[in-house]
Amino acid sequence: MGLLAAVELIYPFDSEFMVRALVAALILGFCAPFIGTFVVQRNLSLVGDGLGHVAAAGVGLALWLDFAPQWVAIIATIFAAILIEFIFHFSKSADTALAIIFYSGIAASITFAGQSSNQGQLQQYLFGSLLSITWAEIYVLAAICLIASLAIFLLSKILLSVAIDASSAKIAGINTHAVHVVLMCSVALIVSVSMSITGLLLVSAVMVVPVMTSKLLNKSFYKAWGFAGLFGAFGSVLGLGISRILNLAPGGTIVLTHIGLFILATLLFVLRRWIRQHDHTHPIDEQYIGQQIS
Amino acid sequence: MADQPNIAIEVKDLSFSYGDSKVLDSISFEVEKNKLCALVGPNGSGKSTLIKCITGLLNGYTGRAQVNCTHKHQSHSIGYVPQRLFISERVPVSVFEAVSTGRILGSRKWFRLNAKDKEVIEHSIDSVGLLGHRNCRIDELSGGQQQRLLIAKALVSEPEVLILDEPTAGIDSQSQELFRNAIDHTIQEHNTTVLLVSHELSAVSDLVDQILVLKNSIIFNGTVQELSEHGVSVGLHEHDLPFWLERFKTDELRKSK
Repeated sequence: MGLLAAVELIYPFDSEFMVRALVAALILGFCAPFIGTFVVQRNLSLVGDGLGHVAAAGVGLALWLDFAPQWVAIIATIFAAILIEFIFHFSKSADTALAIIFYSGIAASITFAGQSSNQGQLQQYLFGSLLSITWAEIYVLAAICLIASLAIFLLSKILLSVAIDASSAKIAGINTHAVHVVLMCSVALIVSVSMSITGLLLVSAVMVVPVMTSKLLNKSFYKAWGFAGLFGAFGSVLGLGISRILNLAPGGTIVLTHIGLFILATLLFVLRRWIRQHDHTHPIDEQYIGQQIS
Repeated sequence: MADQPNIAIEVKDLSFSYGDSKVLDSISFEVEKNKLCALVGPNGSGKSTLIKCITGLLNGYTGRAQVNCTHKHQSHSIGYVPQRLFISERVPVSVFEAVSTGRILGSRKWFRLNAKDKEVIEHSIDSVGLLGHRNCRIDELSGGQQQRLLIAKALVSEPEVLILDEPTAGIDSQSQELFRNAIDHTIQEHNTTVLLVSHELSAVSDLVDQILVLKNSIIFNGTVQELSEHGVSVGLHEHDLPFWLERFKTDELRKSK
């Protein structure tokens, strides 16, 4: 706690609510892209958005029945994640089935929340309320992020093997379907716990955008994976700081900061490529040597 | 396990249908160890379905399809090379990382590869002529290079049987030559049995020990020399061997009458 006390002295984190927000942003900022890397690799970048819609239905139901919104959202998203994976596994037209699940989620959230006297609370989960997060909520966030990230870390080599060549993985005896169910459930957990931070409508951005930033700057999967987590944590803390300084909504500012970092990385990528193409003094790069050998 | 220890692949009376459509009809053949067997046939002749039955990717067939190996788990001794690489370009993967997944699947080392594993991976990349591309992203490789990468990935698990599903489709002649060398290296140095499904056999015609011509059932099973005795040349008639075989067989039948 000594470190947190020291952080509290530094503007813009010079109050306890900002320190709490900083810790939450760091945890989610690292873990969301850490898991999101494998989601992006499966070309499922929007699945976090869809699960966010289902989590909203869970929140609406919880408000109506007066249950704890986060736990109902977790159950609803895990159920939806398993259902989505089964649809991918068995259906050739998964796209339309997914659309129906996602639209049902958002429609159910509005309908259920409309039955509650606390329907205004739904907005808090849709857009996030990072500055009012409590230590108890942070502990839950940390525990769930740790479980989800650990599962993905342990399965990382299998997930990469399946992504590169699913047939060989099946021949080697890997149950690719079960591996993907674990991945989708991890995404569901991250979506559910991040609704109080970025909000359900923006959670997918924190899961995907740092991965795209990292991809531009790395050639290796494991480096891109690690840097995605670091970019996620850095962008989230930077966005939180900017939101305090400019008095903006933290959830939206964090996502815009990630997008700003992505644009910056894109410019760096283009510039680096342009320099390589026009640098006639050092024409022999690694790829050129490789082409000559093969 | 095997009744005949010299047999690597054993298929007996294998039949398979997709609904009412019979794709494979009473297929029987054997492939000896350390040999290269080419499986040829026109589109829709059941080549890929047969491969799926042998590798265990497809169930629900009648008859028997068995890969005889020394490893207690049959699946660990099969190396499989698909038609092409399907990988998202959204996350980078280097050549070394992609090939290492073959070692991970074969050895079940989910956490850390040791020095010997890394040496085998390097050797495998070198044997397909991709060492200069070791740290390149796989989506930056050409079609031929990606195909050789898949072979390296299959070889790195040191399989007893290597099954390749149309690996040379759409590949230029230079890449086909490199592919041929990689297959030769596999058979000579790793004592691997190779089952090659291909339309284009010209690149490997000097390596082929056995040819199976499939058109829903096996219409020819023999050596390249035996095939030429039917008046069919692997090089000249490679694009439609079943057609030419049937034609020569019909001609012979007419002559004998």
